[in-house]
Amino acid sequence: MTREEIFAGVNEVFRDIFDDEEITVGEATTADDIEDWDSLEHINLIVAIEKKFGMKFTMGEATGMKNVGAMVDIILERV
Amino acid sequence: MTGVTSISFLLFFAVLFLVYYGLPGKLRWGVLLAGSLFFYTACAVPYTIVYLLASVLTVYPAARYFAKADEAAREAGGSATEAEKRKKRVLILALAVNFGILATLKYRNLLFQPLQLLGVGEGVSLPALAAPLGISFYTLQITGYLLDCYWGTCKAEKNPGRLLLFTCYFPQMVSGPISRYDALSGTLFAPNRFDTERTARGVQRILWGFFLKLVISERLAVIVNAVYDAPETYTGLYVWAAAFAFILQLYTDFSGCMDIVLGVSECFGVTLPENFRMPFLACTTQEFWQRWHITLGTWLKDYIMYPVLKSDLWYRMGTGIRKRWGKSLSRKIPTWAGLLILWTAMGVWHGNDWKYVIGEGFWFWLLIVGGQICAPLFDKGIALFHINRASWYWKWVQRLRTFVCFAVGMIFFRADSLRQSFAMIRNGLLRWNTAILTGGLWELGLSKKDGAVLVLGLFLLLIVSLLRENGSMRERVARWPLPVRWAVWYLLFFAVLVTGFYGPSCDMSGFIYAQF
Repeated sequence: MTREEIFAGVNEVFRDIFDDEEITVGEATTADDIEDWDSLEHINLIVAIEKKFGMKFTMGEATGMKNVGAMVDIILERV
Repeated sequence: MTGVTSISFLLFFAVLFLVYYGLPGKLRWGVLLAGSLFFYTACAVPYTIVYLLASVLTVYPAARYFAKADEAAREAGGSATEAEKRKKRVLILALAVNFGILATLKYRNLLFQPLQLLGVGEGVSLPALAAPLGISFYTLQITGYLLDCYWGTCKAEKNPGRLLLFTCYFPQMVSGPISRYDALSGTLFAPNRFDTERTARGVQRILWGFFLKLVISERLAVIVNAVYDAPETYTGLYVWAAAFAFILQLYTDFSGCMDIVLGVSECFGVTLPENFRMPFLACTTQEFWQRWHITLGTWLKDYIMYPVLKSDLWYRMGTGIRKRWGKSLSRKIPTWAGLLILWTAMGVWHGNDWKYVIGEGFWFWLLIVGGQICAPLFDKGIALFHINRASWYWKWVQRLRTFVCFAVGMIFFRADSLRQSFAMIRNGLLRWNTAILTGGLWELGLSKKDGAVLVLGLFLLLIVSLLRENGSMRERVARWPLPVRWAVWYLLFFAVLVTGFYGPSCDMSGFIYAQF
């Protein structure tokens, strides 16, 4: 999978989780950029991304990633 | 010497402070370890140190094993699944030993109580077992470190002595806060140099802690104890006055203790995490618990709730609900179920009795989840009465509502039993009595002079809390002209000395949260 394909898949999950078809995530997107992205929604997001790509984040990775770019880096390593 | 306001503790602190800075930098963490072990054996039943050592001796090798297994897996570039399975088995074993000790020593009664209600084991009493000092705090702290090492977010400590110090560092042994290894180790093992400014700040914080404990908390205790010691005598407004007084007592006692603990630690150059952030300024119950006993809430969230929400079981629950009831509920219901586990753990942690599970667990879960379910209804009410959500008065109404909700939960904490808690709430609601407003307050044991000091103390606490919302009070005072800031600290010192409550019912060295 290419980085662009992963970004497209991640974007799809974000739109589904936050019920917002306008969302477009980028490398530097963080919780500050999306209104409902709190700690609980973050876990929902992580689980949905795991299922989408058939991989697992460790708890350390799940709570430690700084932005969407870091999330995509980890996915790229595992798929 | 368990109380951090006792004379013996202050003497111990002074001697350790001199030894700490009198020895070379590389020996300093060793001084803290020796001091912490001395403190432990002086405060607790000495043999209970074996439980503490058992925790360290199980967690230390387990964490080292995780580090080696991760390194081997990286070098081999494969067989990660088998290594993960072995890591998981080691983790489960280490967690079972640590939580097994905690459950056996502290929470046996939780299982025994329901059996007795069913008529099993009536008249049988469980054998008394001495629990180690601060076991509920250090067990969470060291298992948090274990899980961090397992998840790879923390580097396993090579020196077992350092891990032992992290587990039994004396200021936090009595009532926390619950620290994380990566946050604490930086200053705990450093060769901290003596710093006049930092020591002065530490002493200032200790002084504020003494003020909260001795000037406010001990006076409130008189009112609280009078009502809770005779729950059938006091009804109506007496119950609510005692309930409100108790949460103020608990706050000034616990946060006062934290101020002393953090101040003592600051004098050694060791930074402990904050445990309170003006909780009574919170507008919702959820926000309240982000400001009250912060390190416990964070621990439960990071190490229990998130792993539960991330588990396959919760995912399957979400997909099942989505098929039946749609997307919105498929996200909400698993989250509410995760919150129920978190709040049950919160209640269980607080004590060896079902009153804690109901009052400190289920009640707050009900408030948070109920608030989310009823949010559309509340929104309609707000629109109907044209309430401006951004107005100052609405903020204070919300703060008052949160305060009252917390006070109700804490009736269970303070009452002797679940039965007494319900009886007091019933007496407060159904047996109306307003005599407390017409002189009855002064029959509870507090003189009018002490009442006036209490009101002034609470007023000062309110002002300081409001100012602290916008930054550190000590930093603010430090910017004032020299004579003014000296006057402030001397005034506080003499206020503690002169108006500190050292009456017959005062338990100067005892702190409510030290029982855990």
